[in-house]
Amino acid sequence: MAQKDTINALIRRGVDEDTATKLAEKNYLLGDIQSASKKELIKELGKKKGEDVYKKVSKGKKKKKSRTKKKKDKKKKTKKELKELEIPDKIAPLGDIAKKLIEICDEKGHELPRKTIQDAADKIKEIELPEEDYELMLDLIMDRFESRRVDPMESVGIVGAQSIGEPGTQMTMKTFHYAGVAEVNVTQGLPRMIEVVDARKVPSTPMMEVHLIEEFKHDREKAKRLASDLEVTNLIDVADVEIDMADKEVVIKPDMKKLKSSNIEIEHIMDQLKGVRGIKGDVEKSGKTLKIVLPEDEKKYASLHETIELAKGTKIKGLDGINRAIIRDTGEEFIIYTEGSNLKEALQMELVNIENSSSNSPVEIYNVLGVEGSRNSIIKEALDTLNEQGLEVDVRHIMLVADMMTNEGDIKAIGRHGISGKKTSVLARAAFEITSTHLLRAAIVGEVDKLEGVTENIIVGQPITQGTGAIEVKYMPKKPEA
Amino acid sequence: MGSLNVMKHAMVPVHRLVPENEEEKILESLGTSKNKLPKILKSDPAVEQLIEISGDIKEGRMVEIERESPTAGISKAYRLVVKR
Repeated sequence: MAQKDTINALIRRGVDEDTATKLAEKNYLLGDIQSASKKELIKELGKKKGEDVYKKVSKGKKKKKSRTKKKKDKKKKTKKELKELEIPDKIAPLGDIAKKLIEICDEKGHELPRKTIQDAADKIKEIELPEEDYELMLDLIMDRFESRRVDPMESVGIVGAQSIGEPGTQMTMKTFHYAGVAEVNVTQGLPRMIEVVDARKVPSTPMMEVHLIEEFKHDREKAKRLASDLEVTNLIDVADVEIDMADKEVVIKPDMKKLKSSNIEIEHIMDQLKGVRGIKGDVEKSGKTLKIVLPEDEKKYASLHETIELAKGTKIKGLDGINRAIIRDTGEEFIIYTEGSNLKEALQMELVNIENSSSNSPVEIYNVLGVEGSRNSIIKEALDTLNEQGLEVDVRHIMLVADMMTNEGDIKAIGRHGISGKKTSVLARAAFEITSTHLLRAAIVGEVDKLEGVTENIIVGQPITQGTGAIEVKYMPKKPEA
Repeated sequence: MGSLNVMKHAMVPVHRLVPENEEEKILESLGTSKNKLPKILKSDPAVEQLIEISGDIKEGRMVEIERESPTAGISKAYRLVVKR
């Protein structure tokens, strides 16, 4: 559709139809052509036509020039930065036996997933199978593999829904369980499952798992420092704040011990206080105490009170949203668990390992790391929640759910606002929730239902399009021989 | 996004831009057409990262994703770059 619009727009500007179609087919939009340079157009269309199109369509592009210049500056990166940009290599290479197995598979035309081959190779190593038996083993594996495949037209969605739904009935309805870390409270069981599948913006107990960079992962001091940098520290946590009634001032007496342990300097507090909107007057330093001196006409009890409340709640350091950070020693490394989460800013911090620090909210991961990351997060969170309750559900079902949720490039919830609301059939949507609204809308707009799904066929009393209903029988009468 | 390379994160699989001349071959082997592929937004952090590596990516291009799957080992998935 966009292509047609582009073609029409170009023709309106006097470009002949052939050229316009040619440009549109290459997925150029009008804006691209307008801002393209003469050279680019000549390259695309040949000299004569390129110049012609340029004359007719191009806009003044002085502005654009400055923008491209900026981009060029950006591109000049040091070698180290370039290395940061590379696409990392993540997949571990195969072993010798596995390579051999793949060779045999290729020869015989077997198509086996890499994981199966890897597993087979591991087993061969374990039982020291002689090499001449490899072929037989692969044949047997292939036989089993074929027989366990999902058949075409199999209703994987319904099977998946059953397989998650049934164990779901055994989940605890409401528990606040302490998972893993003693002090951090995490929602578990059914409420958590609903949260994940609903794609809530913020889960009821957001949490982060922060790892330290390789170098310092055994360093308790560094872990402590990072934890205190993550946690939000307000002024009241590190100082006594009082009102001096005689001089009508707010007096701040920092606790030097606390300041030292969390690595804060008095000057930093002063800077933070000066930045707070609503605190009128000057912040003065005298010795080890700070004073907020209000201007003459504001020296009233009410405004003093207002000021002291603002001062108490002033954030001295930490990331917004993180209420608590707890260090846990796993024996292998120190991991910091946080109550509340702010993944975006945490990943920018110096000591944080960006490779494996994560949050428990798929939506937050979507915003910071993208759809694919979020897909993995949904799978992990759902599977962890089920396993925590001692329920075993095959990953494939959950992967299907995650695939559906991330199919459109963003996260869609399962339910009326998400996937179920997107069904093409009116009857299927009406059967799910808010029946009258859907039917009314369909009547007004004039929707057509082709009766392709399961629900709508049950409603009208036809065989569903699954199983034996999936095929149609056509009868082709023989032409009478003349 | 600063200098954060999202593809380094353990949760994000490797994304690669599919060269335009290979698109047809892949679609044929999958037995599908372009607009039936799952989508990925142009504003997705991973796509932005690719743009930073290989220059602008137009909508309608395909991105190959090399997923580490618990059942298949490695599985390749494709997504179509779209504007929201």
